[in-house]
Amino acid sequence: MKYITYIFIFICFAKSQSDLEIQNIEQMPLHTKILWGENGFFRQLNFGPKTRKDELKLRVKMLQNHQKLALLSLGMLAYQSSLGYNIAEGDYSKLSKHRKFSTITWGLYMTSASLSYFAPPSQKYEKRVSSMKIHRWLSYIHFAGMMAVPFLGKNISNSNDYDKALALHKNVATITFTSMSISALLTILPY
Amino acid sequence: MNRLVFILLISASFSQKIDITSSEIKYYGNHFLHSWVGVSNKAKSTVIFDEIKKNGSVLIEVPLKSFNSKVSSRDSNMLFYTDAIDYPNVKFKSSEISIVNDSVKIIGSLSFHGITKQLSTTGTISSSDGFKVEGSFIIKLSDFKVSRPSFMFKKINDSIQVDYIFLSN
Repeated sequence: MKYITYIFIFICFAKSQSDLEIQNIEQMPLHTKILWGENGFFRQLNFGPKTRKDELKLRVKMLQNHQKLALLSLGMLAYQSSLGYNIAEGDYSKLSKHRKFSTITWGLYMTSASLSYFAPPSQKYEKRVSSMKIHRWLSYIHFAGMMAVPFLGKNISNSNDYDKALALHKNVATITFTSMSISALLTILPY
Repeated sequence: MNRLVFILLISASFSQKIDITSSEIKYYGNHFLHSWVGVSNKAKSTVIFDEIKKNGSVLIEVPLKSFNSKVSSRDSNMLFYTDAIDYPNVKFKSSEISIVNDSVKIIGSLSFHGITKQLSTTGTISSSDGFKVEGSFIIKLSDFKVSRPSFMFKKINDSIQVDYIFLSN
């Protein structure tokens, strides 16, 4: 009787385990597959929570912090843009502030991006295009932009063609800010 | 005695199990920034309907993972907050059904997130062109000890409206 009870408990447990399966796992983003896939980097290192339940807990925590920091870095980026436009129009008194804030903004942004990119996998993925999928695609644009903007900013003073270097920095920063703003707006769409 | 058996058989013959061919259960989530709808067509149900006595019984079970709100990360969040790993299904079992004309009142117990609560719902029922029952009710997440996710520093609303429709050809 005892063994039958154990077998029954095992069957129940196995059944509940099958419920943990990630839906549409093939749609998992590449960076998540590399880090958290079956043979992912973190799995190889045996890094991270031991259970799927704890993984989800960590994921939610990371994404909530991502959300807060992303909002803060968007605000900082807006302020940076305004400082940048003032400098471009000749108000060089803003230059040191622009430089100082660039480090804070960049640090905030990268922390926020890391919290999103390194988060454990979702419980469900989908084939169709949704607001969150576009949110992720846009992140590749503003991430690339954020990587380039500081170098392009530094390049202005070193460049032989000031106007061209300034325009490049300005354009990349504008694309970065725009894509980040759209990305933020997409999170409030119902679909 | 024979008469009693005959009466019982006659009365039992009017109670029929309805084979539900399709169902739709929707929940409506609200946040000050947006609203959304999660839909499931995967409810398993046992419906017994007595057209003469105008009563019956209902047993419904729906897996939480079958709800689709068209944003997978939101569905994933819902599964996390409802502890779907430990409590994968929502169940409803009726205890009392009363039908007046095409209106149906169902009282029963709803088990969600490991907590069972009494629930009453009023809907419409028709059996003229196939069997159809539809209605809605509102639950509070706090009643079922479900912690609410927050977005932009604000939690989603505690009240969740649930609409249901069950059809049989």
